[in-house]
Amino acid sequence: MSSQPRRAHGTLGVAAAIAVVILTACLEGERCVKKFTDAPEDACYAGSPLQMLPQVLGQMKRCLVLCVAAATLACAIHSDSNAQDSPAQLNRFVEGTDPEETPMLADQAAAELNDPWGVLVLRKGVFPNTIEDALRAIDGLGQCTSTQDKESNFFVSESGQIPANVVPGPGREFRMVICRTVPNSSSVIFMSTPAGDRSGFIELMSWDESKKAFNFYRRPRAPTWDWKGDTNAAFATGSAGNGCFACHVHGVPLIKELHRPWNNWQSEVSTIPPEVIPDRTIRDGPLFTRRSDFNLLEPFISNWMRIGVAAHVAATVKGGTLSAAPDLLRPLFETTIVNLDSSQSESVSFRNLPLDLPFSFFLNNDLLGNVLEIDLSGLGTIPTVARNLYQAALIKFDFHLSDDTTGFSRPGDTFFAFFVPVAAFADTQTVDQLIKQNVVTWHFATSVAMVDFANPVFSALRSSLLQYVPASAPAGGKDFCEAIADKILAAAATLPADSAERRFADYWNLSDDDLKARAAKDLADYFASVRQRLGTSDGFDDYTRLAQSRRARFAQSGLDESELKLLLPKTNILSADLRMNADGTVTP
Amino acid sequence: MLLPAFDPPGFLDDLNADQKKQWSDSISDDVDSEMAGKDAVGHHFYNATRFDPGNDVTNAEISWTAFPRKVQINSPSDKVRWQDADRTRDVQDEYCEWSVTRNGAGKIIRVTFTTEGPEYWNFLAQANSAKVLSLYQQFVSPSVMKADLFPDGTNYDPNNKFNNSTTNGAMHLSQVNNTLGAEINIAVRSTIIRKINGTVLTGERELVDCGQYGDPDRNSDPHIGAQVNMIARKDAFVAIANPVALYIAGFAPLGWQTPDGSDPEDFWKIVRGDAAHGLRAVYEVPAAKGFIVGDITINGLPIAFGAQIVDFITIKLVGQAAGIGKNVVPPVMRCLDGGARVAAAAADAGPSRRGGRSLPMPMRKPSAS
Repeated sequence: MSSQPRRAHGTLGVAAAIAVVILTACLEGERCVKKFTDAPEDACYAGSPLQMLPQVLGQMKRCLVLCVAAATLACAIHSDSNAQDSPAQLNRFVEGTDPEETPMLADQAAAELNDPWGVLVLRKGVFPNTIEDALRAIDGLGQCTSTQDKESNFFVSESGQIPANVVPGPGREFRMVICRTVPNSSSVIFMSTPAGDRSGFIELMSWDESKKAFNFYRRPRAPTWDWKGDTNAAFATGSAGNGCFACHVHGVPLIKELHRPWNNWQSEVSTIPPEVIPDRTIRDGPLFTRRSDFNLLEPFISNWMRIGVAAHVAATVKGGTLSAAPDLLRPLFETTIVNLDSSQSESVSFRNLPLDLPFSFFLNNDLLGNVLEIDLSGLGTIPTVARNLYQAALIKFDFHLSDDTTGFSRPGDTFFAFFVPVAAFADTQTVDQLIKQNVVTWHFATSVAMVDFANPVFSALRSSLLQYVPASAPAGGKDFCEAIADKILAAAATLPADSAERRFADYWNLSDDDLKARAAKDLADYFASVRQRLGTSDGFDDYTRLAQSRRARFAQSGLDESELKLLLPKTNILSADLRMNADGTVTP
Repeated sequence: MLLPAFDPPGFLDDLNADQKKQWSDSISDDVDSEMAGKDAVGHHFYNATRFDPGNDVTNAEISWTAFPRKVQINSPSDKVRWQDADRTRDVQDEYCEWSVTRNGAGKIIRVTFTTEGPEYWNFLAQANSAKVLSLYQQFVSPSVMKADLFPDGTNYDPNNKFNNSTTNGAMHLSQVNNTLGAEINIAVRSTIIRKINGTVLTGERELVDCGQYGDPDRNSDPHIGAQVNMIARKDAFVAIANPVALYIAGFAPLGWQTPDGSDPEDFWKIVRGDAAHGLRAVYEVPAAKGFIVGDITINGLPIAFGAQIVDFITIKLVGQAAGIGKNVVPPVMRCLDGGARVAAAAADAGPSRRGGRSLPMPMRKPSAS
């Protein structure tokens, strides 16, 4: 429609599209500091909304800029007031590579910072102190997802669905994402949220079309800005897993709750009512009152994640040699990060309808169905459990949400029920690109993905196969995959039938057509078993324990306590690593 | 100021002056009827043609995803959901229905989308049957005959063969819950503030469940309800902005790639209504371009289903708030049904506007043109 902003489109061919993401959050340092691997796990939760958006600059006809902000005005003001005496400057500080901040010289900036934030703001000597200053600096840019009377401001809060009159209430923290695009906006945007005693900062991501990578920025203290590296640094020795890339392991935007129903985001599915925001300056402020629903941002940010992932894979295979093959292929084998998914139904309901459970808890349906195109019609409709079984489990396992800092405690589950870690979109997109760019074959990817398919995340079995990927290879493709497969098959000869190697061999030795059919049948059989177990109290209790096991795995790995306090339910389930079996049973 | 009249959806010009007046009266009557309903006690709604709320009137656009939620959540993969959504109009229940046209090779050449309520077409059919026929011939197929639309020669069949499938045309909404009556019903009832056990309800589902309007399992109805209720909680007078209808809010082809690199948005055309009040859209590539819709890819996948396009469409209702702080109505302290929900099966079984409308609103019979 003509009322819609025009956007850059396409995938890698996005002509001169540039994305800017401003992220602000009221944190003292990295909100997430560790990275997931499937071996002894670390995890991170980028609860701070991280964003990015494209823009076309100058003579480029389209500007896409995504600004993501999650900040409290209170803490921003606090931190700003502490730093007014510091000289304004731009530093380079790629953690893991640079020992400390060092001033970035003009020629260095010109070489690295050809994204809109770099070009339009920092390289012009503008160093915004606050979120409103930052937004003012890109005031000429427009909305990227807006409808007529809205702006591309997106709000998230773990307390957004807890009624206002609960006493004692939880600490209420609100963050937001701001997205800007075509140059027709004059809005000044700012946000304030209660921040406790933490200090605020601004984070920003900006797409540099010239190097096809996101630049990451942070304003650690006003008025200093740091360049924190780019997409390529997310994979480079030293910087990988450090700084911004502890969470942004793919060097692209990261939204944990990417898909509906978005437990904590304001969306078309659940509104964050103004009444739950104690600070009038937030709830009556234009950033909130003109906010948009997250469902509008989902396709936008997903698209930019695809673009970033595709660009990285292309850069890695450029020239033909795979110099760090295990790193490139890791998302096929391991859980590098997770997304969070849930039931589409609220945990508390007037209705006594069965509770649906996310497909993604039981299998990586995005990878298997959408990328590998396995026929999932045999799975039937979404799995459900009787409300009485769910409610009994909540009582039995003492589900509750609590905030020790305020004394808030409420029995029950998260707003949308059964909130669990699931396979990450960025990992799945990486596999998609590995296939599309002929790094791995469909047959190989499917054979790996079907190993331990009942554990879409944290599969030690699937992860163990990564050892067979060589450190480097002359090229990807069929020969590369067959060489890996040969090594796995050789090992399988002496291993038991339930080993990862034998499971891989079972699928690998089939023709393409037979593999597709076998995968569809195995998944359908598995789901039939799952549905049977969901009809029993014991079965659902097992799945409740398994869900908590995965939550614990996610939560133990470097999550900020303040993020965790209301993000996940607390229970009396003892910590244990559990796994799902293909017959629907759950075992240690 | 007082609204002189409710205009036809999208300010369409299918009606003459007298008929427009009758259309306005029909909308007005329906609004009045909903406001007077026994289950509407405590509402904050107003009839803009009968009540002047003052000058501080602001519009609030409420939009939602056009792809049917119930299909989406029940599908394990995109292909499954696209197939299911393209299968029948019966599942296209987010106030957006579509029909897909393919070439001899089975590739998509055009997809047509409509948000026009059936009430308007029933009204138009009674007012001017020739106009209905000409519009069908213009927008669906030149081969449409009067007998196709008026089987008995007099009465319009809204579920005629050019409007009852996903392959043979979509002139207006036909899914049982996709009606203007439903829109008005939901808008009126959702202005009731409900305070249950000391807590004011604010959530999408709790409001729709407690207030017994709409279908709690759609994207649209609960969201409309929660957003309208949020306006009402400001002690405002609330209405649906003129003209009362459901509209296409946006189309954002992200991740699309055309064979020649042209902008995929260029092939999206609003063909009834206007940019701000889109009622009907067509996605089709001009023949001169040398490729067709089915050659365009979305995230690398060729467009093989109309539903793939629907993923990028949003639908909207425009609410109106006036006199904020001046319309203080005590909250209602109970849910319909006393808070105990109707049997679960009722929500899943048939027309789901429990206690509300599931059928088009009754229209005044227009005078013949």
